Amino acid sequence: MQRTLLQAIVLVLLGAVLGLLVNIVSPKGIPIRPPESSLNEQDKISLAEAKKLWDSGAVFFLDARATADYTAGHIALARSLPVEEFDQYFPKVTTVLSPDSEIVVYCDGDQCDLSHRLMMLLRERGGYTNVRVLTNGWTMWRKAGFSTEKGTES
Amino acid sequence: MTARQPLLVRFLSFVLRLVVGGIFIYAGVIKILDPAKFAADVANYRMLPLALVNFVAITLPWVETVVGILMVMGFWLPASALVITGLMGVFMAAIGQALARGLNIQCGCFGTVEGGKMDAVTLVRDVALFVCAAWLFWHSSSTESNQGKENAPANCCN
Repeated sequence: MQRTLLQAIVLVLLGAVLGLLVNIVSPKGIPIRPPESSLNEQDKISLAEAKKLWDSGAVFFLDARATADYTAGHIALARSLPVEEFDQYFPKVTTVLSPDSEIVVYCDGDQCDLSHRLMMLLRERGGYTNVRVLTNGWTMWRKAGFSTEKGTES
Repeated sequence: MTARQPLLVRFLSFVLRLVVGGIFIYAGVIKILDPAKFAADVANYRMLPLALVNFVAITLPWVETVVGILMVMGFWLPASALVITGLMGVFMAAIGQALARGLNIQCGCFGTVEGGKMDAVTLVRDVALFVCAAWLFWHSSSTESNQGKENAPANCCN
């Protein structure tokens, strides 16, 4: 039994070392320690401000989650732009946006980074500069009792 | 001892090794191909401090792949089965807590291949894999210790 335990530890260490080594040389490698907070304060929007913009109608809400989540429920009037299928959905969204459009992106959960990734994609690939993240947007919006809807885009 | 085991038990052990090991190799390789996606999936579970998320996303798929390969090969079988059993225990706990907290997330078990959301079926699948791995561990350990006894000199262990 002792030998089995020792071998098990060797296997785990072997896998971990292999992973770390490959991560160093791989072009797809990621930082071992992520930056503390890659989201600057000016990239975020508060729930109150987001609601004010939503009320004014002068804003586009984009839902960064998967389409199944969007269909199950989303912020009213928000459009779906799932990060994982950005290339497929992006052309559809560009038809309603202009370069200076005010955009709020959101996903769900404090640590969900889909909206952050969507913000970066919109800036880098779309040239949209007025993009901000509503952190934990879906949950916060829903809990605040603001307007939501279900189903696919009309 | 191995030769005296019923054929059915040996066949079952062989099939389970291929299935469980194969699933681990597949799950590992899929995640290795897209570490950033897997890191996002790990973060979504909200179990680990953010500082550890990427470390786990970098190392875990390789551990899965290594133990999967060894299990298929039948090399260091009790050890690889032990690691897989342990990992399945951790995965079940992660999925169980995510379901209990109502997190609406992807399992991340098979990287980008698996599109849908995690649900009770995911948990049942993991429990099944856990049971298979635990049985393989128990079976290979007892086989090995019996072999040890048989190989020992006759007067050694009285």
